[in-house]
Amino acid sequence: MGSNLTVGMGEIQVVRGAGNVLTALGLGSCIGVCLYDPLTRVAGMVHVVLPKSQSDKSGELPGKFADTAIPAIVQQMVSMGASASRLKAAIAGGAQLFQFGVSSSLDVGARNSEAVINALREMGIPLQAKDVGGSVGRTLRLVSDNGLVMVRTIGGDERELAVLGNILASSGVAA
Amino acid sequence: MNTTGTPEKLQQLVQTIRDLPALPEVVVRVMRLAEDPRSDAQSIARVIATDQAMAARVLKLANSAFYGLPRRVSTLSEAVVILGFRTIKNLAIAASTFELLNREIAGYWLQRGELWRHSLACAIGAQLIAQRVRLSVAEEAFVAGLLHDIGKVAINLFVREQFDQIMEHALRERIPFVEAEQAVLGFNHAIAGALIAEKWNLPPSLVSVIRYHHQPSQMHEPETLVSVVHLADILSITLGIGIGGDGLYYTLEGGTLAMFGLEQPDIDALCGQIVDYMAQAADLQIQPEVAVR
Repeated sequence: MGSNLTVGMGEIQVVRGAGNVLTALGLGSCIGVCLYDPLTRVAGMVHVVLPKSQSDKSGELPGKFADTAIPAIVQQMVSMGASASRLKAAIAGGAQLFQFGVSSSLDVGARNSEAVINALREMGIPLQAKDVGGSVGRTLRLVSDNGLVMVRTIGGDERELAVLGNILASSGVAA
Repeated sequence: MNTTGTPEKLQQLVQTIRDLPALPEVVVRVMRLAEDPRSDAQSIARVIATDQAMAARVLKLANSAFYGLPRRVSTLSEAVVILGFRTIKNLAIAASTFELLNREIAGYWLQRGELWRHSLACAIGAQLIAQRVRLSVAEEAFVAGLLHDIGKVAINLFVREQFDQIMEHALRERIPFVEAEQAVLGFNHAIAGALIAEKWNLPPSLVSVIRYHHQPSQMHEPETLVSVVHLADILSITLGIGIGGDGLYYTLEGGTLAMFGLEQPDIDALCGQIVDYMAQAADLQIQPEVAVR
């Protein structure tokens, strides 16, 4: 009884077992983070909106900020039987406005990428693949059967980014 | 490649806009009444009540998170009294444009509902910016943000035919998508939107916002409201809310942030707020399929 779940902005979704698909639609500067444990087939996705939480605000969705999102999703996955040491990651999004040669205060995309990559590194989770930057919108899918990660550029093609369940895959991309 | 639009194409655009639905008579009457100092709440409520679908949407919007009413408003006259004539007028305009904005806009790779979501995010963003910088136009900002991209509905089919050319042109010339539309088609969604707004006899301030929402500085007499919507649009695009194949191929005009005294932490906070309000407005994003007309 698989499910097809959409991961909205700031949301975390975790599923266990084959037959589930997690999808983040319309990633602009946001980052979709896919995490997968090949052994238990626990799959998780979080739709990160901003790099850093404001410590003075309670009641925020932990998935909204890179610094709180990664620990929160790992915790949820572990509570569903995953092992933190087996998790592998792939990320997509972090797009920027089309401003050639102009530095911008609106560099949320780049700051999000950096914050997510740092948070993964701090948790010791290998980043298997990433598709970040540029000025395109993206849709990200994670299939729980084998950790297949697909990225579609809005207005373009869908392509395979990684198979996180492939235990023979190399140890990851340089962050 | 010929990059100037042909006169025939412009003719077709004018015809397309002519074929779009008129603003419902109810809205036209509400707009007139709202500007008339002799009007009272009862008369405005009575006019809205003549269109049931409109009445239901106005109440739904009035009870949504944006207006933060302490209790549920159940009648139109109550809504008019509590929210005021100007807000009700704007709600009526918003309610009447839902059908158009909720369409699939295939030319921009926008599925059904995506342009409405983007418009709603921009409306929320514009209102938040206006409040943050203490502008008196917060009320207008919501409806201006909602309508800014209405022209995409009209040029949808033209863009669909030449999307690849427009994108290639943007990348080659290193210009934003809206400027590439202009170069390839001879018009763009902002110009088309202003034509629609004029056809609907919307106030000149709204026509200007729609016309200049990508280039506020090109106005003869710059208006703050236009820059508010420009920034709100850019934030909504950056967040990816209802973005299509044109993606983030847009720019923020230099000086916009300085004009409002906004810095990076303010921008992050605004983005966070837009996301929160959009989550609260989930029920406005999936509206029942009611034909307004």
